[in-house]
Amino acid sequence: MNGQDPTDGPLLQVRDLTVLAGRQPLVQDVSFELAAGERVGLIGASGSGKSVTCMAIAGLLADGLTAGGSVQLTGTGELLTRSERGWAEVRGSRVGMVFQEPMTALNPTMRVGRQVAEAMRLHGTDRSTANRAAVDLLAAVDLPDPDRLATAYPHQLSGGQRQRVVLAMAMANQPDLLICDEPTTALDVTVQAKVLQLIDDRAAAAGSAVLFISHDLAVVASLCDRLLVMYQGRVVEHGSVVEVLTAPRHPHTRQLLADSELAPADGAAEADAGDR
Amino acid sequence: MVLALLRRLAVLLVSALVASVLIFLIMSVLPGSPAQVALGTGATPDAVRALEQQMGLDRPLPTQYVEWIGGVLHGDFGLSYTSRQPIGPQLFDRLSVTLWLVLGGMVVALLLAVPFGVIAALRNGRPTGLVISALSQIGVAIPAFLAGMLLIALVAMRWNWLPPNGYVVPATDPVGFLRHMILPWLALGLVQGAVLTRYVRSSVLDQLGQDYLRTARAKGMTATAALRRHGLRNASIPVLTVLGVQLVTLMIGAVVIERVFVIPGVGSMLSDAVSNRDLITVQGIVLVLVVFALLVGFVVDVLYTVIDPRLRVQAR
Repeated sequence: MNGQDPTDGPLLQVRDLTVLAGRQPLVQDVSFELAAGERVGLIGASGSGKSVTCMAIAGLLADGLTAGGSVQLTGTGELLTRSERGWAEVRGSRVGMVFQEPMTALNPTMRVGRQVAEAMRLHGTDRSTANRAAVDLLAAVDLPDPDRLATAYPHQLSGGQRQRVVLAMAMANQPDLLICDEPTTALDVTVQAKVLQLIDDRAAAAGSAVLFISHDLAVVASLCDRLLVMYQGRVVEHGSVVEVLTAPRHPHTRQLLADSELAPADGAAEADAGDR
Repeated sequence: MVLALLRRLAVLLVSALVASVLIFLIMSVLPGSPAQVALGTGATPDAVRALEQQMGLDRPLPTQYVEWIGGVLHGDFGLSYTSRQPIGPQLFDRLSVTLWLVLGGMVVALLLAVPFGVIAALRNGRPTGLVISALSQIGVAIPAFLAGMLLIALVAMRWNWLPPNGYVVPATDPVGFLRHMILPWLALGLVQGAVLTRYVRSSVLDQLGQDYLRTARAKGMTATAALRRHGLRNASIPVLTVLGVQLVTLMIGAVVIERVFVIPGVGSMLSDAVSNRDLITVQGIVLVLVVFALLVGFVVDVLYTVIDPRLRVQAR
């Protein structure tokens, strides 16, 4: 939406990203690119560094973690050297985020509509416009009775509804990049599919690129164009979804495939699983 | 919401009533007749009995209670056993003095505790945070009367900046009132502020780890703005609990600081009444203090529901 031309080169360019906890590396030499509107899945077992990678890209690393290398966002330049204030300008406007745990992602003492409107107010929208747009955004994520819901507090909403609210906030300024960190893991199965569909729809409507973290191959396969596989803090494999899923090269990818129900050689994988 | 408020109000009234009965009973089972105390050990039994009759102490307890509490509801706390003066007017004078003292002390405590507690949380583990934690730990260990005596010794005696003690009514001499109150306020506020700083710090630390602050940053806030706009309100809930307890403790414990600064508050009135065995005065003061404590509890409960919408639903 910010006038990005897809032919202008990558929207996001991550080079040799390293995240350290003290001297202990959590993420090492991660490099990848994301074109405008492209959807890339980041998969790996828990502890493989997927979340930390995304937090580094959004400048939301926990205290004590330091990022090195380079993260370039077209039109903004290098992100890693930015101050917290500089980050804040990028977050919410050019980069939106949806997190894993919807139950705690919203401020319990603030009305939902105000929390959504705030996402726009922070980036220069005036109050009345933002308040009206907040209701529209709640309607756009298929929440029932958005006028009334805007005046509700988070505890009055279900987990799925809260995750929709978080998505509405993330998409409020039609960001160029939407980062989803296991957005459906905490939801039950029927709600998962709906929220995934919404992420798909909203990102398509805004033309946002999506960086989608999951340990669930089925979820990633349905949404993404390309996959990055992380293992012990490094990207061990990348390629199109079809390539990675049908012809996995790294043993860890094969393991992930074997552990999921999307195994390429169904019979063999199931026999394997039966043995265990 | 209104219903919950009314229910809480009913609890307040019933508690106050029960408290008044208990206080009355405890005072009446204490050994030693007030008439005997008033007349001294040399009095004849006849004289004591005559005075008891005059004071109404020979009547059944329920009658005495109803008469006492009926008067109290009209602000009439009876006559002091020792001075034979009405207790009510003096009690309210003293109460206003102590309220000034305690509320001012709490303001100083809050002015110290909120900024320092927040900074200590934000700088947790770094030198600034450690220094604030260490100072507040020292503050917790210093009794208020000692802080008061140190302040008097330095500020009043050595530097002659402020009067060492005494009290001036604010309506007659506002400047004199402030000059007399600054040291007691500081003595109370420094110590209570140190305690409160620790609660603010841990409460803010709790909130700093919460996901919703990360969401706020993801929307485009800096970490400090997220804490200010979203975190502090949530952090204030546990602090409010401590604040209520502190207010009541200060009110009841005010006697110490009133003695140090020679302030004619309700605490020194209570301690005088106790040492004179002026039970009717003790009874009145204790009732007022208990009602104050109950009121603080009520206000704190109402504030909870104002701050946290989740509690409103539970209250329904």
